[in-house]
Amino acid sequence: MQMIRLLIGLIISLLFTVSCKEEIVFKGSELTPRLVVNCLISPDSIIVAQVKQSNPIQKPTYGNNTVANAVVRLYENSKFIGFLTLNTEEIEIGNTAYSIGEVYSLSGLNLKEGNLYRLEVEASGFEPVSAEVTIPHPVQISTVDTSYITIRDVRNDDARVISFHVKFSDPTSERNYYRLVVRETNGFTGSWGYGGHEGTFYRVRIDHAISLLGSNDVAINPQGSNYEDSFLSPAYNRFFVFSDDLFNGTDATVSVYIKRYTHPWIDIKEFNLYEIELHSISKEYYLYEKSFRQFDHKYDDPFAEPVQVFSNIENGYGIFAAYSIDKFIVLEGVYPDYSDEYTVEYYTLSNSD
Amino acid sequence: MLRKIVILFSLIIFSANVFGNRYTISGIVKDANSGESLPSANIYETTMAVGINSNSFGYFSMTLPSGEIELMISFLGYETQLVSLVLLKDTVINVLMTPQVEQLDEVAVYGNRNNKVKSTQMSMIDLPMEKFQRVPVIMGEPDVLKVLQLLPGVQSGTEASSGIHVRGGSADQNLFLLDGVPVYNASHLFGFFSVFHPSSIKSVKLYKAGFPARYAGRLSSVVDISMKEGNMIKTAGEASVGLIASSFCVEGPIKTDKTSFLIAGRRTYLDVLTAPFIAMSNKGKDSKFSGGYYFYDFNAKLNHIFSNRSRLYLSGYFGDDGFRVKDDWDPSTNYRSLQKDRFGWGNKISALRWNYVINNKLFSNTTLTYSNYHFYSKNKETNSFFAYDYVARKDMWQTHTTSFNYFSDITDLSAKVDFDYFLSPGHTLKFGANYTRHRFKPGVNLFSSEATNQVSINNRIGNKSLYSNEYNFYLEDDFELLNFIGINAGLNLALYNVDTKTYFSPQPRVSCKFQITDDMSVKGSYARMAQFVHLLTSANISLPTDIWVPVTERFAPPTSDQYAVGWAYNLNRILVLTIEGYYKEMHNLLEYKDGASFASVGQGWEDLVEQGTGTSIGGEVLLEKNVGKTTGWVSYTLSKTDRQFENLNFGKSFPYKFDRRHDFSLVMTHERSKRFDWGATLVYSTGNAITLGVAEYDAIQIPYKSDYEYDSQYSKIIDYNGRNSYRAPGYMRADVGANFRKQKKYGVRTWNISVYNITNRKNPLFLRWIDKDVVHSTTDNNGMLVTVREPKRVLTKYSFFPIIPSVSYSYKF
Repeated sequence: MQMIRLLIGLIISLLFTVSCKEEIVFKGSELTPRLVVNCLISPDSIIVAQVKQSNPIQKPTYGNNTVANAVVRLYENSKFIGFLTLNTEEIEIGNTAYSIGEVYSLSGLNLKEGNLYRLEVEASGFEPVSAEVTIPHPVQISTVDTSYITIRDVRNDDARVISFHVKFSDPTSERNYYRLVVRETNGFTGSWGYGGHEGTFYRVRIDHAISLLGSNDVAINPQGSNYEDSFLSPAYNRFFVFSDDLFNGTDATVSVYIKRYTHPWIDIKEFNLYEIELHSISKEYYLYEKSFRQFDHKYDDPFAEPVQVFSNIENGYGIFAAYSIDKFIVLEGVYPDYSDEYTVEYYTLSNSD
Repeated sequence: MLRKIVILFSLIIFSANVFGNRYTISGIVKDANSGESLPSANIYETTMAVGINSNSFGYFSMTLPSGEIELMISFLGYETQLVSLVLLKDTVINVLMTPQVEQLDEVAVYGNRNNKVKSTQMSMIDLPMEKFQRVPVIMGEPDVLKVLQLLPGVQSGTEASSGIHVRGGSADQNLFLLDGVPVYNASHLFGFFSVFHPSSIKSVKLYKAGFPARYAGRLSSVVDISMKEGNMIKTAGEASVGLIASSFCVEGPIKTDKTSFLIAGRRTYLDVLTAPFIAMSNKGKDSKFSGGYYFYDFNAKLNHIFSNRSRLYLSGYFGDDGFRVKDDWDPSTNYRSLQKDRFGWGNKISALRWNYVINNKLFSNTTLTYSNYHFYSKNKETNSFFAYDYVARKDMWQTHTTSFNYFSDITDLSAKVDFDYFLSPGHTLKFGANYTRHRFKPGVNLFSSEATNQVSINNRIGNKSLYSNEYNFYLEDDFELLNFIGINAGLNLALYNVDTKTYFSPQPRVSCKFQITDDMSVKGSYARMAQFVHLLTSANISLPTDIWVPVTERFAPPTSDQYAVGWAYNLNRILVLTIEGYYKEMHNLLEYKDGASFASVGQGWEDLVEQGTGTSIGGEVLLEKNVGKTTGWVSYTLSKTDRQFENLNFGKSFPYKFDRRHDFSLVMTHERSKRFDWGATLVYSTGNAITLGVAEYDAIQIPYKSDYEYDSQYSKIIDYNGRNSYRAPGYMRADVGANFRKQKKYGVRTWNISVYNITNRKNPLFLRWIDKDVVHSTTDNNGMLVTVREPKRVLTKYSFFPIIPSVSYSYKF
């Protein structure tokens, strides 16, 4: 494949260097900005939506595009239930709060699976937009089997591969779409250098994270899990979104795995608590995620046909989608007994860490 | 119903044999100067006013009532021959035709000017070599496919590419036959040149609709190219030197009137020309770079006549493109790196054909063919270090060599037998069978590593070879009814077997002609076509990484149904006007999924593609002038081509990327004298349909729950407003060329001067949005003049071919 890369590189270089460039006028009509609504809901007491504006391709913007004067209405089964109001939303990562910008939200709700929700957004200067979605019923995880192997990876590091085989019954009556998420809380006790007092402190370190998963399951990655060769491979299904194409209406088992590298340099007593979540997602979310994944992967590839990202926002852009969750817990090791002799540190790691 | 059809056919077939004493006159129509057989020559019996065309090998047979007959034999660019004789028994004659061009300065005739009107066949263009050798082309290299692109219903892909798109079909829907052998990759240098060496070609026929039943295997067109047979009378040849390539063609008798040969070759020398410049740029540098690109073609043919009834042809074509890069880096006394990369691709084809006249009405042709298209890439890297070796316990040179090879190919072995049964004038039956064994190697990787004091690694990773079998049986009946209705009806039965799956594809074909007057006819046709191989390609240019794959259990064979109507009119016997309309449906087409790119093919390619349908509707006008000093044609095509795939463009129909509403060509050549002629072409077409961003917006960035990750890496999404929804600027180009000839002692020398794109128009190869900061000055709140950078995105057109003058020299003897 290296040679093919070379060939591609040569052709691209040739085209870009030998060819001559000329700015031309865009003959299409410049699109007036549209409302962009991004909102994901689940059975909960709060709904959060981003309301932004698009920009014509000729005029890129890099700042905050939030539309501040929007009127956002929420309906449940065609019945108006409230306005979403503009707030500044923050999320906590570790002990730090990060602003994710201004969002429209409404709390004190009782969003339920099976109900149809409709979002209507108006703002002066924009065409009104709307979208509908039904929160899917959660599909129960019947059990999760685990298996373990130890591997030595390409970097000569030993790793323990923990596989989760998630079993559930796919409903027969409808097309279903899923997402698998594994959250982990893991920690270890030990002594290690800290502040010039090496070896004298015992501490428990606890990490909360979305697990960095892999999967060879054909339902999730029909092309296999080799996502390292990203130029030549299809986009890696990094959000583990899949449909019931391969097992519609039957008992299904879908597998994911986590690689855990061992820590031979410290004395540890490890524990891991895995929360395996089977998200039943709406078709809109599935189509959005699938197309967005491809778009993100191939945006800069001049040989790939550009990817159009799915949107269900009428007269606008974005996504209004829903999901519900069933959870199964797998515990490894012994949860530590905190006492005064330990210093406890908490970390929350995001996938980008 | 079937019984009735059989009875009707039997009546038609045997009706000719029930009246009186009839004898058969048969033979071969040949060029008097070379002995070359002349296909599609018109043999016309003047008293009975019946006629027939010679077949692809120049053979004809007419069964006529006994008595005096007068045959008028005519062929494009040749003196018409009159043969009178008394037919009292079955008779064999060989007709020798004298070329007109050597005798007439005043008038040159190209093409049987009335064939378009009188033939039942529609949507077929017979392109004689004389016609396209005068059309100016890029780099002075005459090119069959580039001339075909100037015809109605035939569209080029990207600029200067030799790929063709016929009536809304994609590039892999054209069956290129060279002496009856399918050619899988018809282009060199990413599609800029075709593989067909002009000097070795005798004739080119393009079928766009109304396909005779003997052709099968592609949806949209058949390009049937015949190589010259080799001069039986005298040794002749041609050599030419151009800007980027030189070529030669030599033909002659091994034994006069018995055995002849033809060899032809062409090679580019870009690699040779650039070598001194590369060497100069390497001077004084640690890194010595070398490399180059070339392609070559080699054609050879042997032709032996055993008797009037038996003849053998052996022909072959070998062509390759090659690219090599070598980088020798020697920066110090203790380290050296040497990298060698090579890749190449090409075709090898050969055909063994045996013509045998079983009896004077039944002509047979048996063919064995081999066709191979291959791609390879080889990479070898050697790194050498002068360092301490722990095994030898001393300083020494240590080397680490890795090599990576990749190759893919497709190979066909085929056996075929065809029969032409000349029942009566105006009634010919063709039937035959064909078996092809396909072998596909979608991609094999070889990796090896060798290092001092380390265990060697040799890995072979790749896809298993795939084998499939294709069977074709056909019956084609060409006959006339009531003297003004011509019908060509036939059926091609195809069986395709891959793994455990067998596809059966009956493909009915029918063409009919109503002769309204001697100079006017109306035609109609229907043809179903099927094809059993796909070309996986996503780029707009022809890449060697494009891979042919077979239909599978998962993806049924693509099929097309094409309906066409036409009107042909011979205006004052000088101009021929044809107007045709067509509607074509294409099913089971394959297209890469959104975002899928080439090179990720091989095992699992089925997961990268979608299957859908396509339609094309259009009208074509062709006005030809084939008589006189000034010849040429004007063609115009109005068409609309769409594709629809369930999972592309959210299920909505979208324009095919080479959908062009308007396509116009003007081709003119003028022979001022035997010493000087010139030609010009003008081309205009609507721009390609492309997918271009129109708006941009933020991706979702809402955490699903409190500690959730952001849901995107690239935070902006581009809206394209639908697949292929934007029209690139229109394409226009004018070329001119002139030939200066002079008779020399041993032959004729010709200087050709041509200018491609004489107006230097910057035609678009592709468009991109480019980010750019626009800087302007303004005053701030304090009244101070400040410079502001404003981000802007501009639509940028990339053009590749400016005005290109070229000159070539050729010598014909």
